[in-house]
Amino acid sequence: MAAPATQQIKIRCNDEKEFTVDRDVLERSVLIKNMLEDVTEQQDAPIPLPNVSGPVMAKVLEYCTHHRGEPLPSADTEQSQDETRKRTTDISEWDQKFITVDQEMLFEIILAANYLDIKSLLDVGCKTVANMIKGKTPEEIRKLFNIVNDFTPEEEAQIKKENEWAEDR
Amino acid sequence: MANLRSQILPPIFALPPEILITIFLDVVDGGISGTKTSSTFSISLVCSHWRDLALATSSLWRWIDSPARRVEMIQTLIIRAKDRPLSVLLPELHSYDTDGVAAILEKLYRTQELRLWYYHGAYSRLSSSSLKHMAAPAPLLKALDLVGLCLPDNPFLGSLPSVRDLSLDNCGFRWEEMPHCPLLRSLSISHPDFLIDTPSFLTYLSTLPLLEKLDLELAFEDENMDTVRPTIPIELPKLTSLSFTGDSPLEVAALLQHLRFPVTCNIRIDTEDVNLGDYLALFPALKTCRTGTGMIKELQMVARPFLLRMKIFEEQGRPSDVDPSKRTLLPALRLEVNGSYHNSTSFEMGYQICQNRLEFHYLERLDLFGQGTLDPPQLSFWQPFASLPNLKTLAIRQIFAVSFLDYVWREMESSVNSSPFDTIHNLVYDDPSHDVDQYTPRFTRLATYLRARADRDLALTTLTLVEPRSEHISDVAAGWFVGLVHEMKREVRRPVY
Repeated sequence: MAAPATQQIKIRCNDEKEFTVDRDVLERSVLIKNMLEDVTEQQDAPIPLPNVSGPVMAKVLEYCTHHRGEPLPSADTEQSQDETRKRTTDISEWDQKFITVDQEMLFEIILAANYLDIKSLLDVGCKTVANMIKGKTPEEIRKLFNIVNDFTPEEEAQIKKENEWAEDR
Repeated sequence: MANLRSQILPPIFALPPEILITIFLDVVDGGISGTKTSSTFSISLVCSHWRDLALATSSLWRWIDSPARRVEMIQTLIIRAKDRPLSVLLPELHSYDTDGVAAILEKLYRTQELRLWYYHGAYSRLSSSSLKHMAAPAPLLKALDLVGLCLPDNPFLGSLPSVRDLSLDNCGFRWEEMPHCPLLRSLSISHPDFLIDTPSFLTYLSTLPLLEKLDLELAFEDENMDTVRPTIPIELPKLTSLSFTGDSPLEVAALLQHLRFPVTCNIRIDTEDVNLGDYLALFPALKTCRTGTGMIKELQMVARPFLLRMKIFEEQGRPSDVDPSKRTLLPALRLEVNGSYHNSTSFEMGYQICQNRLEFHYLERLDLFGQGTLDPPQLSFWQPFASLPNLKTLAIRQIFAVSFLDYVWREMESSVNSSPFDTIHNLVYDDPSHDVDQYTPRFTRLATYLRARADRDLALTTLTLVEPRSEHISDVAAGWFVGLVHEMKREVRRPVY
């Protein structure tokens, strides 16, 4: 017996790029899931996603397709205020390969995950950036992200002192 | 305007503040101990935007784990952490000046984790102001781990109401003033500057209904354990691990008869008492023991179905004394060689014992651990292990990892079709290298060996990577291992070392 057909949903990105995607894949996004639940009638018009471009959405959909069927994080597993909670920056192998992109795309994926409310993808993005920062001096971090040192001369005295503390490992 | 902004600012500035803060917390909280304080400062010194965010995020500043000794730095952290509970780990307490320690302990009332380790001589006396703070309440403290410190009279006013983990190693205090810890899950007492009398210890245990782990080392008086009058047994329904190191097996047995705990509780005894074999009937639930070697009596003991940790001492025993009829069928072996002994003699001992005294046909678990700066054992070391038809778990640690890979590599080059290690389900790999250039070729050999057997009869289901000593290697190796295990469709584990 053939498996029941999965409902296909159409989305449109801010560059007019359109995707037709299985509903369960799209529902990795809490934003889209809520939108679909609010719509009672079958609609042919694509869902507009004005904050996401086509290339970024393609990456997001690659992630959602790979992780389809996995349980969505519940309220219990979401970040709690308990500061004794163990925070790790471990990333699975597939996710590591997936997120190996240039910096611009990495930050676009993070922004898209935040907008679309895909917590697990947001976590992967943030942990990736955290791992890039770990163990680096302020100067190395600036160089990595092309950030300009914009401290005023007045601030520099305090900065210099704290720099010594930062290097004391 | 947005376009102009994106052209001027680097891409990371596109991230909103709340996401940057999440990243900062991932860096600091997810970092290894000893780096959290310096990571926080590093983040706050990148640019004015990041600094503003960091200064506004008080939870970033709650870690005090830097080797830095400056009082000013400590006070800066405490101020910026605002009212957040502090987590303090000072593994080199001797390098801090007394004012710095006092500044930290002054905030004990808002500290949730306190680890102070003093290894430069036993029973360091804290300054009077520090002692005063440790005599005050610590209502938020969840973990207390002290090494080499002398506590004040009536520490913490006799109560640590939130503490889950308590470890006191080489600490001076009066046992009768041990704080009441109703929520305690884990208790470890090592080398106290007094010996605990058993009746009062039992009374204390009776106040710890949630205790899961009890670890004692050289803690008990020798003479009067067996004179303790039987009382109502102490119920420890959640106990999963019970460990004794250095105390007499008779004393331990006398203590255990007063305790009631689940049969699944893992009991471990580590003693140099050569007569342990005589006392085994006292420990029907014993899972793990460790003792010296060299006496036939002890080797008879290993026939019992629990793991033996066999430590090789060069000064004990002579392999030539072995009577072949005393060979022992061994279900599990942990062979531990310590770098403080001469390599050649230690390995010769280990080899001879393996070859002459023990029969490995039924061996299900082999755990080889070589510490220190020893050279790896010769390839001939592996000869006694030539046939291991029942081996399920193999742990190769440190110098044994190096030797093992040389051995299996030689096998492969000799076109040997089957390996005694083809039956293993679980492989634990613990490389000694601090240097990725040394680690890489060894990992490549391991991967080649496993891949060559993956499609045939290799039973491997779980590969465990013990965290390498270098963070850089750790990240690289973790990626390799995940890749290898994924490719072989096996499970990977990555325990904290």
